[in-house]
Amino acid sequence: MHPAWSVVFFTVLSGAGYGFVALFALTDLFALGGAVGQQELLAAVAIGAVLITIGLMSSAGHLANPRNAWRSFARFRTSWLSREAVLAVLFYPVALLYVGPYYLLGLEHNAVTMLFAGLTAVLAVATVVATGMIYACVRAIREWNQGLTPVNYLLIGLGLGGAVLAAVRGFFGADPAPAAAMAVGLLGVAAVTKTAWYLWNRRPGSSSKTTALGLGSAPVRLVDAGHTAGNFLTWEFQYPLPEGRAQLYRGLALVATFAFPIAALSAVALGAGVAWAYAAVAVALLGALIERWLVFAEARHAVRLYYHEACL
Amino acid sequence: MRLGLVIDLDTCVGCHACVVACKQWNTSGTVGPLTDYEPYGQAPGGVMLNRVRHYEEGAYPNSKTVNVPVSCMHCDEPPCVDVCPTGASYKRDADGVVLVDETKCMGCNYCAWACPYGCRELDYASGTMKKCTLCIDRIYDDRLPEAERQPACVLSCPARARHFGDLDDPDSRVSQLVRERRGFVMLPEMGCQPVNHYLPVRPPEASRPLPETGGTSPGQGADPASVQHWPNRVVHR
Repeated sequence: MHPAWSVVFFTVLSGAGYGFVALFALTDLFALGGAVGQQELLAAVAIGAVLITIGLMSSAGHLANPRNAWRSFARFRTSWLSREAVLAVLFYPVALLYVGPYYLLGLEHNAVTMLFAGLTAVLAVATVVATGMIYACVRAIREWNQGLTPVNYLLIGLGLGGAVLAAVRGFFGADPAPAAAMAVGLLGVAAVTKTAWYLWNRRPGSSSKTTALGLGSAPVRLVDAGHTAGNFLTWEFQYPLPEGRAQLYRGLALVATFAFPIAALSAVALGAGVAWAYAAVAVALLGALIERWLVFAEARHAVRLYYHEACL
Repeated sequence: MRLGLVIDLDTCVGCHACVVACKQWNTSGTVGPLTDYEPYGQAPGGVMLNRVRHYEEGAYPNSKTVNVPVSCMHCDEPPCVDVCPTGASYKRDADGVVLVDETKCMGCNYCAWACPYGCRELDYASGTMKKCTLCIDRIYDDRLPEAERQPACVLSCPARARHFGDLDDPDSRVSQLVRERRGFVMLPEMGCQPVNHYLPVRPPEASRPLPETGGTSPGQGADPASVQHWPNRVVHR
């Protein structure tokens, strides 16, 4: 698949934003690492809103006809893209009903603010799951079509959000250790599920030129694609990524998204300076961008069977 | 009613007449224009609703060229329709034709990702998705003579390799062809349940004269060695 940068930025930034908001709501509800201050709440709202909104706006960048984007709320009964759009937009008023009254009441929780804090976290998680399901439900792309795809989207989003939360908590003088510990746990599990995702993709699939063309068991090769220049199918679904380079990027993604942030945030959880949390956020975001770019670049669409791919 | 195509891979000669006829009809039809990119430039290309690719089966000299036209399969379980967030993609209840309402399409490409056959192409000029309409603006047009109420690709095929009809009706010509010739669907494992069927390539033996094993030849009584014998066999089927 041709990696669309707008979608790469969207899934990473929105994922991190929703992960951050979900974990922040929990941290606030249970006062993990100390109660949330006024400045910190405002900063958290700003960071969450910026990450999520920039991500969502970026997602519109890959629409060829954005004038009709408002129609994407129509088919939530069948389409995960539509569900994601509905959840993403529903998130804003619910989050506002949490932080607005909470702020005006002087940062004192009552039953209503607690309810909306919980709802905000649930909607944030649901939105990221819906994002993952957009990819997981595409049977034509077997790398995506597995149960671990939404799990990875969710865990990486929550892990990045946890890293941001640790940085925010540390910056405003609260104890960043609980947030850092949560992020370490989430990123650790994400590292396992992401590795399992790669291993699953190595298994041979069931589609081949034989099932695509119905020709016999003899080897079949493409002689002529019928067009001399490229077309939508070659531009969108073919992406030349040599295995050597793919391995390098995979290694980079695993180190930058998981290994370094886990180490840095472990140090924060054990009492090291908050600077390590800032470093973890920067490196993890960069790693997640590579990871998400690879999700596209390495995906092999079934239409390739009609070109040079022998089997998927 | 499930309208669709039955395409004979045995007789398709790979001439691209269907591709050209499709482009010609549809570029000025309801989904048109089908934009051309660099039509007179270095790398001419453009939106096509139907593409023919050429394959070699087996290894030379025991090989065979097979020409494979692919256009929208008008699936019974169309994943492109399920994933469409705007409702622009839809499948008609009455005849099963899968269409795109371009006034609703936002060009997100999601349906093209979901289609395993590569039968949807984004028109970069209009920003909307284009796909085979089964020439919906021909097949129901009362002003056309009845014989011409067929998709342009079917009418144009010089080898008569393309057949159009109702695959729900067991007595229709297309259903009979699928039954008699063991028609198959592409990528059945994707679960789309395509309506379009393909008729397989006959084994090479079917194109050769039968060996002389005594007795009469099954041809039209002609001497198997005569020149008429070979075309007779071909024309017969």
